[in-house]
Amino acid sequence: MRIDISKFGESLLSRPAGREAALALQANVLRDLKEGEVVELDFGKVLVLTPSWGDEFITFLREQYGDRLKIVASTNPSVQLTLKTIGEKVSA
Amino acid sequence: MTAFEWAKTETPTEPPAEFYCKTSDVWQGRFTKVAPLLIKQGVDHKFAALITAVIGELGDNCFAHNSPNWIDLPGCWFQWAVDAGELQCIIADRGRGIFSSLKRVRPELHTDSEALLVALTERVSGRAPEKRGNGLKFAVDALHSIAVGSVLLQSGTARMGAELPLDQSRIEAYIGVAEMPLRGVYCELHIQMKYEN
Repeated sequence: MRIDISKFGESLLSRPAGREAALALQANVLRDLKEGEVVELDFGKVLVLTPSWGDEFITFLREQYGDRLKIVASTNPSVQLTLKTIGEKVSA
Repeated sequence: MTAFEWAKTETPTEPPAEFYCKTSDVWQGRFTKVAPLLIKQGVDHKFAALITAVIGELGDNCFAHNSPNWIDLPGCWFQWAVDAGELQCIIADRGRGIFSSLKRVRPELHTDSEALLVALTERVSGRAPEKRGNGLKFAVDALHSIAVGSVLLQSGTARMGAELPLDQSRIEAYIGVAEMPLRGVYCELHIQMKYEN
């Protein structure tokens, strides 16, 4: 299942917002996830990603889904540097 | 009154309405307009994304480390404009400052300068045990990749002033003692914009 992260906003900022987005995603979308199905986070249409939002969002989902959580490569430097800062790597 | 005067004065008045973000929702509302406006002016998308992310982390820190225990005036002064191809951005607060914030979790810190160095180079947060404290490191890394401009960051008596691109290995050398102390955090960015071809 691929998730278009821009549906949470173009400029993603703050830990509370990141946490809320993760909780909403889990409650409204990922509850239908099939066993073993992969979750792909696609930041391709995001304008700005910050470490505060990204850390809260990805860390929460990582704790829930472990290696089933994948991150799609992006050319956006705010996405690239945020992922580097919080210690996450793209999956492909 | 300039933002710096506002940040250091003993008896503050509210900043001009156009610059004053009293609450985080006001701040975030104004922040979300930055990248679209830069891009509308022709700034390179990727460049705008990176600059805006830095601004976002700096501004978010004002609220993350002070709300709701502001000492006097809540919120931040957020001022930005592009003039002759240069972004000028000021983010300032009258909060407790970096030293006071970090001292709680790093009691071995004794000066504003020590605290500023730690904040810029280590993953540590005044909100430990929450696992956070990436914002200023992110800003340093981002400003390493920007070719032309300058950054000024002051908290207490510690002042980091540097031309861009920042050299991550020289952060300690960039930090000195300010002539005028201020209690909160004051940041001023001057960045030469990169435009779409």
